[in-house]
Amino acid sequence: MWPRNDVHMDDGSMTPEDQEPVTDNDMEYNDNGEESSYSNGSSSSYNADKLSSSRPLQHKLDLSASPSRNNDLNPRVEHLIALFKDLSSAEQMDAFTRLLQESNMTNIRQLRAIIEPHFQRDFLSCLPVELGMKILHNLTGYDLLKVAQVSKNWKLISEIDKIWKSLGVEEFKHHPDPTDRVTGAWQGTAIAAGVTIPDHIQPCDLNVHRFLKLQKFGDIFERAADKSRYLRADKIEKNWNANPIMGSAVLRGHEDHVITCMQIHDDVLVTGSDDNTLKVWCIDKGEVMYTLVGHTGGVWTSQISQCGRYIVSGSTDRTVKVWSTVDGSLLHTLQGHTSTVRCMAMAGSILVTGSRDTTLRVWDVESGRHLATLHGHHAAVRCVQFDGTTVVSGGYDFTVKIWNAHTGRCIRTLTGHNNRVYSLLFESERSIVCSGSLDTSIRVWDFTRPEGQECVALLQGHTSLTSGMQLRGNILVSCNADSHVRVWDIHEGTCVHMLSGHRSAITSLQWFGRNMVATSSDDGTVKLWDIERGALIRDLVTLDSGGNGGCIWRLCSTSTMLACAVGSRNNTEETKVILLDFDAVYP
Amino acid sequence: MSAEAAAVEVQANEAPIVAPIMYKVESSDGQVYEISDEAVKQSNTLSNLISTCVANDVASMDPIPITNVTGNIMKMVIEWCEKHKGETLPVEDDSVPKNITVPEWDTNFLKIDNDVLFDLIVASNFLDVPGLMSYACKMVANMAIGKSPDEMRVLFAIPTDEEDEAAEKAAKEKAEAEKKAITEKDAAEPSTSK
Repeated sequence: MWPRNDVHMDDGSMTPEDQEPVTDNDMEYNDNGEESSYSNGSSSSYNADKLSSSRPLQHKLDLSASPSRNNDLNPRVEHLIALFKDLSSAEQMDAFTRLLQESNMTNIRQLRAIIEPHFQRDFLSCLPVELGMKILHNLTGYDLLKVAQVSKNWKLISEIDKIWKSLGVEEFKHHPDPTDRVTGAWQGTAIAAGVTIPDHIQPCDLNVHRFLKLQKFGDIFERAADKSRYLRADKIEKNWNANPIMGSAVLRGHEDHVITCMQIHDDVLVTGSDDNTLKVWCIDKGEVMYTLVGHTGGVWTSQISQCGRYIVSGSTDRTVKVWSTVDGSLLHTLQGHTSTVRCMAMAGSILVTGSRDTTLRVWDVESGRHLATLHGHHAAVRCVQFDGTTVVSGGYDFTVKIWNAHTGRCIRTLTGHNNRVYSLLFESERSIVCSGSLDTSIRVWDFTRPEGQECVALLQGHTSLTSGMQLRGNILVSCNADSHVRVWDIHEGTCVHMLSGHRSAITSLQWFGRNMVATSSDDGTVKLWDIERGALIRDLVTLDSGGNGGCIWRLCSTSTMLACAVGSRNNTEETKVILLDFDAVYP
Repeated sequence: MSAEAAAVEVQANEAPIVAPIMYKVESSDGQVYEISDEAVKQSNTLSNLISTCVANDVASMDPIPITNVTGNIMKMVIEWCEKHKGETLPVEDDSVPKNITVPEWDTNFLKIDNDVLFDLIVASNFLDVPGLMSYACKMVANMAIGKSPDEMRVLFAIPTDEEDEAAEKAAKEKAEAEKKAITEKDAAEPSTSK
C-alpha cells in the first residue's frame, strides 16, 4: 500500500502544471474532490481516497500533454475556452453534446477514461473496515465468495469471521469434525456384483481422494475459520445433492439373517438381528468392535442412550438387555415382560419398553430397576415415544394412549383409528402426537384439548400402513407401504407433495439437512428426495436383485454419512450394511 | 395522488397547532441549512449535540458547525432526514444476509454517482443516521449481488492483483532511479569542490 502512495505523491506533484490548461469547471470539480477527501473523517480512508483518485489525475496528465502543446501552437483553443466560460450551465451542456458528436472515437475513449473513475468507486477499500462490513452484511455466502476473488483487499475484508459466523446461523451448518473413513471396510467400496451405486467415484480416483481427505484443515481454515466452516457445510450439502460419492463400505455380519433394527450415535453403529445378536461397529474405522451375545431369541428393537454409554435391546426371548458401549459387556438383564419386546424409547437413563404382552414397562437402565408397569392396551404394543415424563404408545388395539411414566396412570386414550397403529411421533413441547395406522390414515392429536376433541388433523391419501414419519414445525414427512412418500402440512391438514418412484413398500425414512429426505424400500433402492420442491434428487443405492427378493430393511444417517441394511428373505441378496460417505474437509 | 392529498391535509391540520422548531447547521464549506426538530431525531449525532445545548431562543442560535461534511452532502442528508422524520431508527442485527428492502423513494434518492454515494455513506456514519446508512449500504451491496469478480472490478474500478503488483513494481523502479540520480549528483559535487 505504501509504495502506491509514493506513486500518488509523484502524480500529485504534477498537479499545478496539470491545472493550468483546464477550465474553471474542472477546477471547481477538483476543489470539491479535495474537500470530499477531508470529509472521510479517518486518516486511513483519507490515504485510500487519495490513492483511488490517482487514476483520474494520471489520465488527465496523459490528456493534458496534447492540449498543452496545442495551447502553445494554437490560440484558437484558448479563444474557444474563453467563449465556453461565458456560457450558462445549460448552454455548456448543449455545447458538450454537440462537441461529442463532432469528436472521433479515439477522443471519446480518452474522455471516458477521464470521466469514468468518478462513477466507479472502490467502496470496500476506501471505506473504513467497519463500514465495509455493513455493506458485506447484505450479501449471501455465494456473493461473498465472488467478492473474495476481486482483489486482495476485498478478500481480506470479506473473510472477517463476524460475517461468516452470522451467515452460519442455521443449525444445519454445524457438523462434527472431518472423519477418516479410509480404513477397514472403507478400503474397498460398496460397489459389487449386484449392487449399483450411481454416481460413485471411479476406483482409480479413489486414492487421490483418500489422500486429500486426510488434509482435514486447509489454508482457508487457518486464516478465516468461519468462512472455512461455511464452505465445508456447502460442500457437504453438494456431496449429498450432486457430487460423485467419494467413499463407501460394506460391513458384513448377521449372515443369512434379517437386520431388524439399526441406530447411530456419534461414530457408533448398532445393528440388531433375528440371529439373536447385536453388532457394534466403529463407522470411521469401518470395522466391528463387539458382537453382543446373550439373547436367546431374535432382537426386534434397540436403542442407544443419549449419553452414548448404553445399548438397550429387546427380544423375542421376552427380556430387555442393557449393554456397555465401552467394552460390549452385558450390564443388566431386565425381566418382566411375558411376550416379545417389540418397541422401546429412552430419555436419559429411563427406558420404556412395549411388548406383545399388551403392557409397557418403565426401567432405570443404570441400576437395572423396574419402576412401573403400564396396563391398559388390549393388544400388542407396537410403538412408543417418551420424553422423560410422558409416554405415548400405539398398539394393535387401534388406540394411542398417553401415560404418566412416574405414576403409571393412563392420562388419555386417543380413539379414531380403524386398524392397528404402526408408527408414532411425539413432540412434547407442543403436546402433538402423530400416529400412522394400517387404516391408511395419519392422525394428528393435541392431547391437551378436551377429551374426544383431541384429533386436530386427519391426513388421508396413503393406501397402506405408514412405516415412518418425521415432523419439523408444521411439516410432516411420511413413508408408507404403498411405495409413496408424502409431505403434509399438519396445520392445514393437506398433502403438499406426493413423491413417487419407489416400486415397493418403503421401510425407513430419514430427514436431514434443510430439505433432504432419504428413504429405503423393499424394491432394493435408497432414494434421496428434495421435499421442498417435491422431487427426486437421485438414487443412492440400487440392488440388482430388487424385485426378486433383495430389499433394504433399514436406513439411518448422520449429517455426513448414510447406512442402510441390505438383505433378502429368500437368499437372493447377502445380509450386510452399506455405508456411504458424504463428508468433506475444511478447505 | 391520494397520498399527497393526505399529506397536505396532515400539514394543514398540523400548521395551526404548532410550527416545527427549525435548527441551523453549517457545513464545512460554510453553507447553512435548516432541519426540523422531528428530522433531527434521525441523526443521533445531531440529536446529542442539540440536547446538550440549553436553548432559550432557537431562532437566534448560531448554526451548529459540522466540519466533516460538505454542503451538497449535508443538503442530501437533511433532505433524507426530513423525508423520514417520525420513523423509528432501525435496530442493528448481525444476520447475514440482512433482510433489508429499500423503499422506492430511497431507491430513487440513492441513484447517484458512486462518488456522491461514497461521501453520503461517510457522512451518515459521522452524523450517525442508521436508516440512511443501512439503505446506502444495501444499494452498494445490490451492485455486487449476482456479479462475477470481473464485473465487480469494472463496476468499482479495481485493478486486478497483477495490475496492482505491476504498478507497485513500476513505482519501486522509479524510486530507485531517483535515488540513483541523487547519488550521482552527490558524487559529482565533492569532485567539483576538490
